[in-house]
Amino acid sequence: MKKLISTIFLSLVVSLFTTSLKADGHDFTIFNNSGMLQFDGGGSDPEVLAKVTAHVKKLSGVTPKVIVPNMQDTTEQLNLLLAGSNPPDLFQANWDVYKSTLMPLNDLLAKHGDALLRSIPETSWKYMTDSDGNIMGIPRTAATSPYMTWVRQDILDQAGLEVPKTVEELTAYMAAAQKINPDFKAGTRAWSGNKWEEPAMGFAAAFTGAMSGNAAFIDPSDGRVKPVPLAPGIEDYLRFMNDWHNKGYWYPDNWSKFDESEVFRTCNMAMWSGWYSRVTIIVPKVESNCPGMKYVRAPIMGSKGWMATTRASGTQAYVINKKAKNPEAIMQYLNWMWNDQSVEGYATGVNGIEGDHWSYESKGMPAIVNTKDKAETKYVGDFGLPNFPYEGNMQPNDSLWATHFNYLGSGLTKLDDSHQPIDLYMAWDKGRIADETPTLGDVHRMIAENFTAFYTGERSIDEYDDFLAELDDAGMQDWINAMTAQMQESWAN
Amino acid sequence: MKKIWKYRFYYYLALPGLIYFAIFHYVPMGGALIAFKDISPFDGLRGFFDAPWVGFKHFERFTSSVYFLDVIENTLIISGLKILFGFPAPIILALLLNEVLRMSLKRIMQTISYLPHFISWVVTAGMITALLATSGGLLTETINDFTGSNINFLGNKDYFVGILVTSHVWKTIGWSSIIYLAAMSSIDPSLYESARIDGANRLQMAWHITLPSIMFVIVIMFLLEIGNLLEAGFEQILLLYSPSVYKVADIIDTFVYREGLLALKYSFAAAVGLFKAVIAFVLLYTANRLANRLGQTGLW
Amino acid sequence: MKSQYKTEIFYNYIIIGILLILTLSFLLPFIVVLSTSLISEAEWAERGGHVLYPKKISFVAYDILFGKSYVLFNAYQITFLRVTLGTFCNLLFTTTLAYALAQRDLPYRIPLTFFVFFTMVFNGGLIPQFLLVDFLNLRNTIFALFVPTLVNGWYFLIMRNFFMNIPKDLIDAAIIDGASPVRILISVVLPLSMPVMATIGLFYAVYHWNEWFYASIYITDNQLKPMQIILRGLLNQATMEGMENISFMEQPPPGASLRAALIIFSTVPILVVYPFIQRYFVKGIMIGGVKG
Repeated sequence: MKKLISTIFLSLVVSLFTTSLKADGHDFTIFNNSGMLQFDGGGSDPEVLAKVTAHVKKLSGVTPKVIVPNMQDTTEQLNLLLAGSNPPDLFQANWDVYKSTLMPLNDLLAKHGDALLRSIPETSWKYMTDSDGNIMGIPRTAATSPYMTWVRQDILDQAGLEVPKTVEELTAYMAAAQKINPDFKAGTRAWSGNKWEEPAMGFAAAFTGAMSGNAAFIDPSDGRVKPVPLAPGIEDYLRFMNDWHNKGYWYPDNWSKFDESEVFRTCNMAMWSGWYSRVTIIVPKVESNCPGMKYVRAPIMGSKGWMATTRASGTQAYVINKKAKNPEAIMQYLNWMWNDQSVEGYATGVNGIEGDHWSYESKGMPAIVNTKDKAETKYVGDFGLPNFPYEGNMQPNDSLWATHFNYLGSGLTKLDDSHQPIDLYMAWDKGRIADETPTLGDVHRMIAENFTAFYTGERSIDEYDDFLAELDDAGMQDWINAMTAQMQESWAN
Repeated sequence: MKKIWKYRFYYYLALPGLIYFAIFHYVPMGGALIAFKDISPFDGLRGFFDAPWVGFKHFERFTSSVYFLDVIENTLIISGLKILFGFPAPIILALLLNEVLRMSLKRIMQTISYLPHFISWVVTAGMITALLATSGGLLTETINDFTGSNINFLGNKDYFVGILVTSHVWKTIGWSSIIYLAAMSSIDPSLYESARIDGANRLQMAWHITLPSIMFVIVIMFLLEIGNLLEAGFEQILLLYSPSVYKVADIIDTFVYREGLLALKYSFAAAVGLFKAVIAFVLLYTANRLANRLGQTGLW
Repeated sequence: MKSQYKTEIFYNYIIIGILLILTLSFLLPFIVVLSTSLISEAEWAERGGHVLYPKKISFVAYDILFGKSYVLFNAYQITFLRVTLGTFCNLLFTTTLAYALAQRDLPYRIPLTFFVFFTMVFNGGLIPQFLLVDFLNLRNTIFALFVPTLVNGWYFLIMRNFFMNIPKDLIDAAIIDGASPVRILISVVLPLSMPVMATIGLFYAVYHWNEWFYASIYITDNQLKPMQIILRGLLNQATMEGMENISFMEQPPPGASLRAALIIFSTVPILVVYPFIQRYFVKGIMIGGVKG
């Protein structure tokens, strides 16, 4: 026992010294909360990482030190790291939330960012500028249409129908599907994460023409920005949802808890309206179990427009801490990472050393690369900074993921069959809206709870006016004022 | 003073622990003051001191919510039911295990009983969802076969709290029984022997010897439960609830969590935390007085 | 006499019957977890993520788990160090404090207990705690994994109540024999307290084994991360929610079987250790017998 304890203490002392001696000569630190490493809490094999670090230094001229995030939701860790000593220099965040701690990038981009300015499209940059004209971050995303409706080709064939294009045709499709098999139902996820711009709500756009990142529309009668429950036509939408519920088209679990992959597996999901990756990732895995099952994308047009809504690219960005000591090195690194001429930087960051860990199948833009399994290379992509507008430039040569990657290029970013919201190119300051609407949480809950009750018929749609009065009592007018004020400010600029 | 010197050995013993509490609990305790400020967390200590005082703004935000009373009521109901069923359950399990004479059987059963403790809520919730899914759920389909009605359990206000309480008891019963078993194993066996000679049966012995002998643990564990009255099981509920059952399932912690999704609300969360702490303090203080009055060793 | 013997037997059967049903309800879900960890993706597609037995045993999930061995092995060592060192220090500090404050006539006993109790209700929240650990330079050291949680208030109270419940005459007898307080603690109190020491030790050890939140905010050095952080990463990968993150899905999420394998991987070591701790419960009885 004594021996064990002394061994433990000795090894402790040794490990303490070795860690403190490891003060390495890096230029800046990256908190890589980009999504690249959220499955790899421990990072890469230390020896491999040392080699890749040297390689990155050779190619880019700088040496970053990477902090691998420990949680999937990295907000908490990021906030604490920023509060502590030695905060990270480069990280991913919504710049509007973190503005007080960030560095404007205008000069840096002009000086060192030429290649990266070219490789990220104009539309994504629109969200990066604050009201004073400061560029606060480098865009992380692009406008997409992630909530889409899919139907089954095999069912269409059996029923002798074409891919539905309207709400009526979609209803006729579900009726035909249930005639073939009463277990065929429609799936959607109503309120995952208690967020708000969700697929079931997305249906509302077809009936109202009013959906947006903040679920808002402009009321033509008074020019104010209002939330979706006030949109003309919303009762038609609720009647439609309730009608489908009464006919048994929806899975009842849509309004409670839903393990989508388990339901796809039963081969009974006749229609899916929701997050695209359920079809691009889960379906290929269960296809072997459901012979003939084939999903086709079905953009639906309602009386007021497209059913799906374009999701704005938003304020998610790579940002630089204002306390960063070496911002020029950071920009130099980023310019190498997202270069418009070559994917060398990006591929190195994500995959490791060319030759050892990956190779080109074909060079050029886009480049196709052969990658190895991470368990084999022991490098998990510590230096890689994925960036949606850039990612398409490097495509893995891998058939399993072909469906998914093809869809990223062809379907996800196809915006001409979805509703373009009024605020597509406007960055809401959501923190300010929440501040000016002290009861915003109550309003959100009330909408979610009551819309669900309207869908299932638990509350009659005849009581809709009562519901609106309740919303007013809960503070909806504050919300309208806050949104209207921001929209007007944004127009003034 | 002389008495203190006489007991110096015990003060030396207590000192390291007390220093620990002073440094790691009392020093950061000042942080609770952010409940009365508007802070942004990124600026560290400076940000903490520079933040403006806002008085009871965050408390009022909580109490002025139209759902304030609902949320408090749900928290108390869910938590209360969990105590009602979940508190005696491990004591009963420990008593039952104590009656098993075959040592090997007792050990195996006990080991198995705490397996659920190690199945995380994420996986437990996955199993519950699979059991209760309206299409293909084992339980739902079985009920459907017998009664012909397809119930969406997780979306039904009548069943939801029952599901929470049942899964809570299932998950905690074994693990919580360990402490009672430990207490039972320190009971002097001669007590049982003399009772047996007096002709007591096993039920009487359990009632008159075992239970009173472990009462000192039961009391402290009960006080613990009282202190946690406002903790109704955040992770479990977050994984299982939905707007369909907000009416009965939304508790203080899920409410705060959703507020946090709208904006970074450290000050708001701190205010609600302080609110809960004050209530817990009053409850514990009262419960402890009560325990002392009943002649039990409580918290002090 | 014979009829009493019969009721005794009957009574036994009832108890064992109830316990068997309960045991089954604890065991079945765990068997489901174990079986699910042993199925392949293809079998999942056919039978779903909750099966009672695997039709064909597949170690795919465990392969993924051990594919991480290059970081997992080191993380396992850190966890082992944390559990041993942490539990030892936890028990040391909790026992000394509890024993001291268990002395019924210790001056200022109640204010001192209240001093501890107060921290169990009120705390300053996460940010000040983090800033303190940062200020003390404990971040990215093994000490950050157990020093901030050195004594758990409730465990302290439980242990103190156990100490207070030790029959006073035993201690008085030792005092009359001229034993010093140290001697009484070591040769009278501690042997009698083995069951509670084992229990609280188990609670602390399992806490250190499972804990990931504080580790994940105090540790950024990959070489010091405990096993649970690696496992959480894999769990995220296996949980559907992770897929909402638009762009980046490099590896297929293996889902149900990986999730199950993670449970098995992190539970089995404790199952193996538990019987050794269980012994102390029995020992307690024997010592009780001796003292009588």
